[in-house]
Amino acid sequence: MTLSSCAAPNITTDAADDALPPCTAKGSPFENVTPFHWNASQKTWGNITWSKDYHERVGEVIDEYLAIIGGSENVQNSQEAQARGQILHCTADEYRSVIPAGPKLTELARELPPWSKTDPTKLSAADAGIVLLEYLRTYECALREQRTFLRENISIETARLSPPRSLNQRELEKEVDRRQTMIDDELRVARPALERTLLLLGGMQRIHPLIADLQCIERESLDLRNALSLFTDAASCMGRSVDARSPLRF
Amino acid sequence: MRHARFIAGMMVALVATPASAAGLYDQVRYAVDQETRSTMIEDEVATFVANVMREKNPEWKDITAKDVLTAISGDLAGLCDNKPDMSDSSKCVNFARQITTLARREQDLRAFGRRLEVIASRDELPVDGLRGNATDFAMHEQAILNIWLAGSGTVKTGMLPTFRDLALPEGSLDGLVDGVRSALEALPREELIAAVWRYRHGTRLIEEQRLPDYAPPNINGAIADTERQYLLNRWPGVESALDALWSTILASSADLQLKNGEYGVLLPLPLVKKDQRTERGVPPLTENILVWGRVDHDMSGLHPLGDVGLLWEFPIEPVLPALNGSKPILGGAFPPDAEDGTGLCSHPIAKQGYLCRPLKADPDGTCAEKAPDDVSAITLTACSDEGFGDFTWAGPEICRDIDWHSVDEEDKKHTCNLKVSCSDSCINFPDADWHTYAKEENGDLYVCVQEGSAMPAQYNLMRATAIADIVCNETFDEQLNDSPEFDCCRVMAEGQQAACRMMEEDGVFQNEDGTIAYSSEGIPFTTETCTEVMTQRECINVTCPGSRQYKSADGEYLLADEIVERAQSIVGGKSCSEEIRAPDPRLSGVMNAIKHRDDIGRPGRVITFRNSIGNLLCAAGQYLEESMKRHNLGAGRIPYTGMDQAFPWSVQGLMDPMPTAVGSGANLPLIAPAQGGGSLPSYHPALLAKTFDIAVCGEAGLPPRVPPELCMLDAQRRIDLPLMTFFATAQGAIGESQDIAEATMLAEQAGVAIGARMGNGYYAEYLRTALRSLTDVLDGTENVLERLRTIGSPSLMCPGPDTPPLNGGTALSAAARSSASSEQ
Repeated sequence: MTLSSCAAPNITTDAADDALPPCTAKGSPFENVTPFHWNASQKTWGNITWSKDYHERVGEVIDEYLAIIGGSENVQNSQEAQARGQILHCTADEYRSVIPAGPKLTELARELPPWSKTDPTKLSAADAGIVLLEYLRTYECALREQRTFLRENISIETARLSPPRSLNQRELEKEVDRRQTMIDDELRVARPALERTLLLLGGMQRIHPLIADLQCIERESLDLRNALSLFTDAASCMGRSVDARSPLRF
Repeated sequence: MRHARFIAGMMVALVATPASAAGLYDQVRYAVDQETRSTMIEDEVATFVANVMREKNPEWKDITAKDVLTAISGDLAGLCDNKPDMSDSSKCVNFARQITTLARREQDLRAFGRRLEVIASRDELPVDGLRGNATDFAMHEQAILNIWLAGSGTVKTGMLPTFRDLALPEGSLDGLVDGVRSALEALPREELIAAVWRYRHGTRLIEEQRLPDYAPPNINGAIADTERQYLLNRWPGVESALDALWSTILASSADLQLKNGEYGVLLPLPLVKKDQRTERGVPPLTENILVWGRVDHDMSGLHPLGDVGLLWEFPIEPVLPALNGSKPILGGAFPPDAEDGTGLCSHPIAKQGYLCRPLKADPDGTCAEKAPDDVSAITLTACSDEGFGDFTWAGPEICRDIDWHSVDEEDKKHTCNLKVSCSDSCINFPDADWHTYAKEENGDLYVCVQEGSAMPAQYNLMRATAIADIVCNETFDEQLNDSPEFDCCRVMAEGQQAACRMMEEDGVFQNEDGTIAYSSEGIPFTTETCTEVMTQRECINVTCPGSRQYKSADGEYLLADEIVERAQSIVGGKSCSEEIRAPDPRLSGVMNAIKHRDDIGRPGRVITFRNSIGNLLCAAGQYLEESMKRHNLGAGRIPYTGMDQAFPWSVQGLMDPMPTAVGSGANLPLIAPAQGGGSLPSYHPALLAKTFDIAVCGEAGLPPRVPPELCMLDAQRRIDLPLMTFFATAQGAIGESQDIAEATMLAEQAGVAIGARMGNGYYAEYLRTALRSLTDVLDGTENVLERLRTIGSPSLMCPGPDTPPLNGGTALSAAARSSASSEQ
C-alpha cells in the first residue's frame, strides 16, 4: 500500500494549459439549451430551464461524492452500502486514484472545457469541488450573458416562433422584467449555495485522505491478522514437534 | 397571507421539476435562498420586529408580523393604507425604513449564525464519532486498535469498546421511527431544530436515567423569555417517542448477549427513508434528521451508556437565539457554560477523546498546554503534570505487562512462586553450595544458596534459578513421575550452562591477554567444558549422553575445582545476601522470567484469547521463545548433547530482517509516538477583540480607546476645529466623509485579516499537536506493513557463510557476508 498519509489531495487538471476561457454560454453545457421555453397553449414563456438542469446536476454530483466517501446515511439498501466500501482502491499509487470519480462527476466534467479533452480516468472524486465551481462559473456566465442581451434575445425568440409574434413595448418590458428577476434570483443563490455546501464538504474532504488511509490499514490489518492466525497455529506446534525428538537427544 | 403565499410559490417553483430525492445541496440552497431574498424574511424575525416596534412607539401599537412582511416586500401602500396614523407619506416611508433596517439586521445576524454552524460542522462532522458511517474517523481508529491491540481488556490495557450491529429485521422499527417523526413535525420549526440538538446525546441522558454515571447537561438551563428558551428545553412528546424506541431495541438486544465493553448499536436511521423523500426541491427538516440507538452491557439494568437520540445528518441549522417569548427577547442572557464531562463525554468513544479526559504531560514533565492564569482565555484542553505514569512502552516486553490470554485453575499449576533464600546451611542439604527444591503443591518453589560458598554467589544463584525456571513449568505430580536420571541430565545441564556462560562473559575462562585459559589437565575453559564437568559432578550416578568424562582416577573433578578458584580470584564475589539486594542484571532477568513464567506451548495446554494481531503476536512469540528455550533449537544452548554450533546467528552476522528493538537506530517501526495525546490551543477572544480595537484606532491615528467607536472619525471635527479660511474648512468638512469611509473600510479589512490569521494560527497549532501522534502511528504502521511485505522467509534454519542469499529476502549481500566472515 502506498498512500500519502495526511496529504492533501493532489488535484491537477489540464485547465492550466488553456487560456482563460471567455465568460459566455458558448462552449458550456448551456449552449444548446433554450433558456426559456414558449408554451404554445398558454402563449407564454416558462421559467428558466437552466436552473433545473444546473441545480439538479450539482445536487447529484454532491450526493454521488457523499456516497463515494460514505458520508451520507441516505443509503437505499445494504447492497448500496456494501458497494460504497468497495470504491476505495487501496493499492493505488496516489490518493487521487484511491477514490476514482463517479459517473455523474465524470459526465459533467466532460462537458466543461477544462476537462473535455482529459482522460476521464484521471479524474478523482476529490475533484468534485473544482469541477462544480467551474460548472457554476459557466452557469453564471451564461446567466449574465442572457441578462445582458435580454431584449435582443426575446426579439429573436419571438421572431422564430411559429407563427412569428411581435411584442409591443409593454409586453417586451414585462417579459424582460420577469426574466431578469429570475436570472437575478439564480445569481443571488447559486454561488452562496454551492460555496456553503462545499464549505461543509471541505471538512470531510480535508480529512478523507486520513480516513482512506485508516480504512486501508484496517483492511490490511484484517489480512495480516488472518495470516498471523495461521502462523500462530503453526508456531504452537513447534514445541510439541521437538518434544518428539527429545528421546533421540538424550 | 403574502408570506405564506410566497413560500408556497417558491416551493412550487423549486419542486416543479422533480428528478431525484433532495439532498444536502437542496437543504443549503433553501437556507441561502431564504436568507438572501430581499423581499422576505423569516416568520420569527417578522414577529420579533413587530413586537419591538410596538414597544418602541405607541403610535405603532397595531403593527403585526404581516405588516413587517409587507414593509419588507416594499409595498408601502399595503403597509400604510389602512393606518390613519400613517396617512402622511413621509411618515410611512420612515416607518417602513425602520422596519426594514431592523428586520434586515436581525436576518443577517441569523444568516451569520448559520454560516458559523456550517464552519463548525465542517470540522466536527468527521471526528465527532457519533455516526458510525464510513467517514467516521473515530470508528475506524477504534476498529484498527481492536484488530491490533494486545490484551484481554484489563485495567492495564484499557477497555476498548466493541460495537455490534443490532441488525433488527428490516422495517421492524418503521412505526417507532414514524412516531418520532410525527412528534417532531408537531413542533414549530425553531423548536424542532432545538429538539434535535437537545437529544443528540440521547433522551435517557436528558431524562436523568443515566445517573449517577452521566448527568444531563444543563438540565435546568431553559429559562422562558431568554434566548435559550428553546436551546435547553424539553419536549415530552419527542421523549416518549424516543423512549418507546429505547424499550424496543433494549428488548431486542437480549439476543446479542452483550459482554462487558460491548455495545449493540442501531446504526443511524434516517427519519425519512430515501424512497419517501421529497424529490429535488425544498426538503423538510425531517429529511436531514437521523435516529440513533445504543444498548450497553449492564447487569444492574441501569444501562448508563445505553440511549437513543437524534442527529443531524448534516448539521447546518443551529439553535439561533430565540426572539419571541411573552415579549420580544432583546438579548443579553448568554447560555450557561458547558459542564465538563457531560454531553459529548457520555458516548463510549467520545469519552476517550481529549476533550473528555485529563491530558498528561510529556514523559519529561513538560506540558504543551497548561491552564493559563488569564481568565479571559477559553481553554478546552489542559494537561495535568502527572506525566505518563501508566505509559506502556510498546516494546518487546508488552506481552509480559498485560494479560493477553485467559488463565484457568489448571494453568496455575504450571506457574510458581519463586522464593530465594540465603543461608549458612540449606535444609536437608547442609553441604551443598546451593539447592533448588522440588516444587510444592501450592506452587511455591524454594531456592537456597549458601552464604559462605567458595563459588561467587551470582553463579550459584544463576544455577539455582535457571533450574527453577525449568522445574517451575512442571506440576507437582509431574515431578513425581520423572525419573531422577533423566531429570538430572535434562535439568542440571540447563542450570549449569547458564552459570557457565555467565562466567565466560565475566572473563573467568580467559587469560589476561584475552586468550582461552587451560586447566592443569590441558582442558580449555569454555562454557561447554564448564557445563559438562559441573553437570557430571552433580549427576554422579548418571551418564549423560554425549558428554565427555572428567572424573579423575581418584574420583575428583579437578576442572570443576579450578573453575571455582578462577571465578573466586577473577570475579571475587559478593555474599548471597548482597547479591539478592542488588542482583546482577542477568540474574534478575532470569528471576523476572520465572515470575512471569507462562508456558503456553506445553503439551495439552489450551489458551484462549481475543483475536487481535497483538495477541496473536504474543502467542507466536511465546511459542517460538519456548521452543528455543526448551528444545535446543537455539544454537549454543546445550552443545554437549547436540554438538550444535555455538551462536551461529552471531557468527553469520546476519541482520534481523525486521529489527524492532527500541533504540536500535534507524529502524524503529514500532516505537510509540512521542506524545500520547493532542490538545486544543487556548482561545483568547478578549485578546482578539483587543487586537482589533488597536487596529481600528490605529487606522484613525489614535491610541486604543474603549469602546473603539471613540476612535472613529467625527464628522463634526472640522467644524469644531476650523481651518484658516471658510473655504478650506468647508472643503475639509466635505472630505471628512471620505476619511470616515476609508477608515471604516480599512477597519473592516483589518478585522477579516486579523480573524483569518488568528484562525489559521489556531488551526495549525491544533493540527500540529493533535495529529502528530496519529501521523506518527500511521507512518509507523505503514512502515511495518511495507516491511512485512518484503520480508523473505529463510529456507535454512542456520544458514552458513556460503549460503546463497534469499530471493528478495534479507540475506546479506556477498560483500557484506565477506565482511561479516572476515570479522570472525
